[in-house]
Amino acid sequence: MDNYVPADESTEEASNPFPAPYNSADAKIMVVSKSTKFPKIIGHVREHFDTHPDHRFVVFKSTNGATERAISCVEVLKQQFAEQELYQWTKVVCDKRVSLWKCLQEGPRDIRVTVEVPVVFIVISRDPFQGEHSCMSMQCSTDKDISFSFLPPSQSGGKSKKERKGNRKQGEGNKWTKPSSDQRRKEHKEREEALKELQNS
Amino acid sequence: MAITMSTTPSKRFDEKTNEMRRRPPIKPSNASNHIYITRKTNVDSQVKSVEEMLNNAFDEIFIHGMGASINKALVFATEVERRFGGSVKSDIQTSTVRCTDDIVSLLELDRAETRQRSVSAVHVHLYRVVS
Repeated sequence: MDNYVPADESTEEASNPFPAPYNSADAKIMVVSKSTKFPKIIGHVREHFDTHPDHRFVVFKSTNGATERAISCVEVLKQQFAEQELYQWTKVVCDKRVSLWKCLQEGPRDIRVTVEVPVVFIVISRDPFQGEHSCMSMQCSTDKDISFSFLPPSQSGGKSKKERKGNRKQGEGNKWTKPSSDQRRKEHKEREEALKELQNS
Repeated sequence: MAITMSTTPSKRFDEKTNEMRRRPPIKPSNASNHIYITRKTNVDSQVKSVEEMLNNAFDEIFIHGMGASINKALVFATEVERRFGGSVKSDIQTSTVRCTDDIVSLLELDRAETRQRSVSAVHVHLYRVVS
């Protein structure tokens, strides 16, 4: 890449993945970047909810890969709005960042690099979501646990870590496991006996 | 001019005489289809192992990422989804994890203080779609 220099960079922004009314033009979208201050954005949301009682939701969107900041912002907001239930719907889409690298020498072609950057969209609503959109990406601020983490495991042959560890200790069935010191002594003895027999014959 | 002092205890501690030991956060599950992404996780190799798991052993996988590794966990989940085309879908939820830190005095080893810290986390449920 020594002979290449960046020439052009363009970003294909992903559109709002939510259905109407959460993707409408008048929807309040809070864009969270890496330098966004939590008190400012939370104060803005609180003011928006207070001044417009008919506006029932806001959408948080991360920019420039600030997904962790957007999620943290929403978590802090939920804690600060502890007096009322807030409903959350999370979706992740990808922005495409295309950069063009031009070659300084004649001959080789230019390189086009496409990088997909995850962008998180979070709807925070004061009303429950409509049943037709119901999915497992929705949660409520009063939920104590993650709802899908405790689903009964659906596996077809996989073993839990504990089970696998147990097998490893027993040393059965896996020929690649490191032999124990007793096994090594036994093998050494057997080899020596076989050598002696060969020498005697 | 009067100097006003804050009554809330400072979170700072003397790093010369104290050491902070972070306790590992509580895992939602120890099952092998729960994958915990850290800052040290190699996404490429982990994607390959998850591909194998989804093809051979499990119908669903749970990906967990905390704090600075949230972005990595999302990159990882989208990469797995992309590799499987439309046959794997995802659900995403967020939470706050309470972590405990021990502040141990280096001068008096029997004296330790604990502190609670809140860290944001993301949980992605990847599952096979029945076609």
